Amino acid sequence: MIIETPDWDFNSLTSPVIACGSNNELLNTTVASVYEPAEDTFLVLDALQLDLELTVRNRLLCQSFSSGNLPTKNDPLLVVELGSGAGLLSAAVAKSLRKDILTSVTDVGVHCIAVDINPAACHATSHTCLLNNVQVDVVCGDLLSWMRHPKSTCVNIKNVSQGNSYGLIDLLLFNPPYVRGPNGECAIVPMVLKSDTIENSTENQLQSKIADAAWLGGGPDGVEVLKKALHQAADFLSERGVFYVLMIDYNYAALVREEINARCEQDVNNFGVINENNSKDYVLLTTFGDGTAKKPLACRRILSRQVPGEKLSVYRVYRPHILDNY
Amino acid sequence: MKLLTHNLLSSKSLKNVKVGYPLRIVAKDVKISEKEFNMEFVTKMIPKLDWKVLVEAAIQIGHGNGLPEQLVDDYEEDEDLLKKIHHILMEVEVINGELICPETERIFPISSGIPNLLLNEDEVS
Repeated sequence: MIIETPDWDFNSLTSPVIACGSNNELLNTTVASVYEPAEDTFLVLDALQLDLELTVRNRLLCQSFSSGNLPTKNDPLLVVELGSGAGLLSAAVAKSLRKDILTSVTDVGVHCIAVDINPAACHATSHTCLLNNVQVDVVCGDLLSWMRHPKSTCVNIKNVSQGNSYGLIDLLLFNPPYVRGPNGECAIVPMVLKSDTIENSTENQLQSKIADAAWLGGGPDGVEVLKKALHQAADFLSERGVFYVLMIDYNYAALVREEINARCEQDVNNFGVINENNSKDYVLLTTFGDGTAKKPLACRRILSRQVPGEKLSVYRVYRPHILDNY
Repeated sequence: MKLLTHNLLSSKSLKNVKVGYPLRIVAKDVKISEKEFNMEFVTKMIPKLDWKVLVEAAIQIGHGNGLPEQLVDDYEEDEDLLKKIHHILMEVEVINGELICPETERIFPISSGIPNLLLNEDEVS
């Protein structure tokens, strides 16, 4: 699949999965388990087209006039996509952040990493990125569980001003498995993906389990995997970092409900900041992050689309002490 | 897998592993491909890296020549050094090999340039 940016043009494209399969017999047996680009993928792409350039320019690089006395930054960006599947989003973002395309990011440079739990998806992502002539490193892993913790190792920063308690990821992207199972089934966890741990299981059953992991979000609200990713985002996002994540309406409702419950338990009197003007487009999440040091995350809806049977939205998740100025 | 990515990898999710960093590399195939030198990118990326880990990794895969053990303070002005760092960060890729947990010796395979950090059920902490 060759992606034209910045005007995403998919009309004349073949599926990246097919492209992989025809080149590699090994992959041909497993590609059925790789999630192919669908309406949710395209919604994330549309949201990025709306939001990405402003986020990079105003927030990550502080080049906005309205940011007043903030110095302009020119740090290279670390971009990570979780659950990259066929690799469309990673390829598109890597392509749009090249300096010849996103002109406001001249000379900054990016390092992109795509992550998937499904080895076949990792290969598909790698192949899609190759076809699109973009540099993306692929890691086979469970969300960010493979990443060194910001605190566990010291980094040779000359002037440690922030206490270095933020992570390194500037842009995090996730089109997660968001569907709830009919009986609140758990999300498919990585260990069942390893064939040596499954007894009496045929290859077909294994493949269908891997395929299920691409859409089954887990639990009665389909948010198990999403919440795990939010915990990691709270820890691993850089101070000005942004996490773009897709949710279905009942995912978001569950996050808001759990936030209200958590604040009731803590006897916190600041219910006003859960929602802005009772807006359904914004929630302040306070329960995410590893261990005792919870780090608040603001979650703002930037684009929605009604498709038959479901309403999907893309949210921009970020640290609330860095205000939106766009 | 570029060494820039390796600099971020840890096996901390393994049971009983305290730090799990850095992972040792045993490289079977290494690919070199020329990339445009972006001095700004390299200069600004260095503070985000664990320098010692980068140098160790470069030596492990046989490309450690010319990288100082200690990063000099005025590296920003040393274009030759920055070009060497550009080479090791952007142009060198491990295609096939292994990553090894420093505490448990658990092996994570690298194949077709993709490191596999997945764990079995009984390995997760």
